[in-house]
Amino acid sequence: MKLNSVKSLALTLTVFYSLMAWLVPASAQYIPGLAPTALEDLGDGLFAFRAGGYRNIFLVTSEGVIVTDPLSSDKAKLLRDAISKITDKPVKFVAYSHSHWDHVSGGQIFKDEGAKVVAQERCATNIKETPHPDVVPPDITFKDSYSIKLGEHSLDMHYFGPSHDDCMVVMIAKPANALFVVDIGSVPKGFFMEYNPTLPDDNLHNMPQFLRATEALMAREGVETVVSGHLAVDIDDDGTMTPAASTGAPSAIGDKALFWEMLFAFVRDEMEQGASADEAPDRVLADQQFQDEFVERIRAGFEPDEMWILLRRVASYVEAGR
Amino acid sequence: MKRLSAISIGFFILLAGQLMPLGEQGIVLASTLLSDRTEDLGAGLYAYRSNERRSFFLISAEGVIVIDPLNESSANSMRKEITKLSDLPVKYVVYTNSFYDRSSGGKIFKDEGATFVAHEECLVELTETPNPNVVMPDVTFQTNYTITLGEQTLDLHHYGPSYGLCFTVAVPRPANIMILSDVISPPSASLPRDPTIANYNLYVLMDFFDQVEALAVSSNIKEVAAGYAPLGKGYASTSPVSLISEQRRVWEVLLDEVEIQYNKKFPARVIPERMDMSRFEDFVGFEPKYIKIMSRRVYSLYRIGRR
Repeated sequence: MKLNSVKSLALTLTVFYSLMAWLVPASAQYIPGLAPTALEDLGDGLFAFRAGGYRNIFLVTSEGVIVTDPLSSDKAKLLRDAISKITDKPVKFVAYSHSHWDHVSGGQIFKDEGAKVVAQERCATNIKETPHPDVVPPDITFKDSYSIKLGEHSLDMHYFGPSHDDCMVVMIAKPANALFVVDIGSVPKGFFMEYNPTLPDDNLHNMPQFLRATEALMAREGVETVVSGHLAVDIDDDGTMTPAASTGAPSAIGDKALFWEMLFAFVRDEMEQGASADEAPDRVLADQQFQDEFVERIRAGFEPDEMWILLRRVASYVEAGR
Repeated sequence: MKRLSAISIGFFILLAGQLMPLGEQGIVLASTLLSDRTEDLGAGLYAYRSNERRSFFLISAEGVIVIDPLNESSANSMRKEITKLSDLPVKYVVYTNSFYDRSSGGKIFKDEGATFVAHEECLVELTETPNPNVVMPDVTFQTNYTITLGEQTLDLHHYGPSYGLCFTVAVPRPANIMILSDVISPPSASLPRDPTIANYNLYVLMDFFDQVEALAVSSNIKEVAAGYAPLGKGYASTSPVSLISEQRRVWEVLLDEVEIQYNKKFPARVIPERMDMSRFEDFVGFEPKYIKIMSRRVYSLYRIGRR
């Protein structure tokens, strides 16, 4: 499979808040002019809210507000303030994208005003098994899909099996018809390097399938916009970072599926030729085809040491099937 | 059953490890190498080596129990080794986890009528991610299961997620050796071979060790055997049961080192540079580069709360 090279001058890299904190002291401004928070009106009652490197969406309806991941107690307060500037309606629902503390902490402020928390059923299990004082357990759970309807709006939650944790969902806000994806996909560039290449809590055996199912869902639902749960930044050739757009095309999801499919294929090829799981990363990195077809698509996110770790993790998956 | 004296490989090599003190305990192991692949652990229990992986088989007067076929080539070779010791059929095959590198290759035993036993979560995983080389389990269990065959029993224990979701501890009796196919690597406490720590459920790993240690005490188990360990390099596939506590200590140090820095609010990619590497120096497999990778994985445990 020969893929076209990406030659854009404005390279896009998904950067998580903690990565930015690694680059410079946590209290400093990571990107010149970047505000600590940002609120964006995406139309049809849909808003995107960013706090540091994290993002969620919320829907303002005539009967109340639907919030997604509260992020943390501090960020949820900032979110609540942002909502109050738009509507005096209460938050009626909080929808969790998955069960990880860094996204679902902080919901108590919404619970206190009567909101119901909605999550895929395995999230409830996870939160029960590994409770956190800042995480409100869900009130409503579902297995495959759930539609939160409020006024003239809805937020449809879809589960396609384990991915990043075992209860991750994607959400479609209607009538905006925008998809919200957290951690497993990013926009505007979909073919991005994983922030943590050890892939904690990732279920690789279903990752591309989940993304392909999301791609098919978007096609069925006519989704034209994707919003992702983390800030991405553009890096110019001189190293200057600027915030990337919060939205992107649905093709970004397919691009991430391709990322995994290609990565698995490169590692599997080496292991089928006799490389052990320990040997496979170096062999893949030395493969010119890998450099030309895979690395070239990542570019700004490529660090050989980081890629070695990711390849080692994939080798374990190929070896063990999980 | 064929007599051991009839084994074509007619030498019994006393392991170098038997002559050397292991740690401070001066333990002398009773195992005996029957060939470059098979080790007699006593009381009908044998360890079978395929490269760096080990599986086990248990010979009784009514048949054989195999623990982890590994892969087709290994299973075929193991079958030949079993034939040297017994002409009875393999009646059971046990999976200690669902991972292909341990559960593949069982068809040769299925063809002679063996019943395959695994924890129920292994069946779920193998159903979700089937592999043509993996025979599906016939019998599943939830928490504990005992296979009785002739004078032998094999007790299987599941303690929740640990290494994968269905990792199973096996205790053959009367050998009374605890088989931990993964998780430990005799003769010494060691850092995980895979620095990405794939499939370890860190959020419950200490609970797992608690339960395994309690089982060892309650069952008066003195030795553990593992699915990884070089053979013929001076030590056996078994260790004193204290290895469980020593291995637990590896994880405690790793988790503790990362937690200290995490609580100081250092970000993931700074933490490895601040860790006290001297705390890891005594563990087998010490490699700072790998520990730094592990720290990234452990960081997420504190950040996201899972695996």
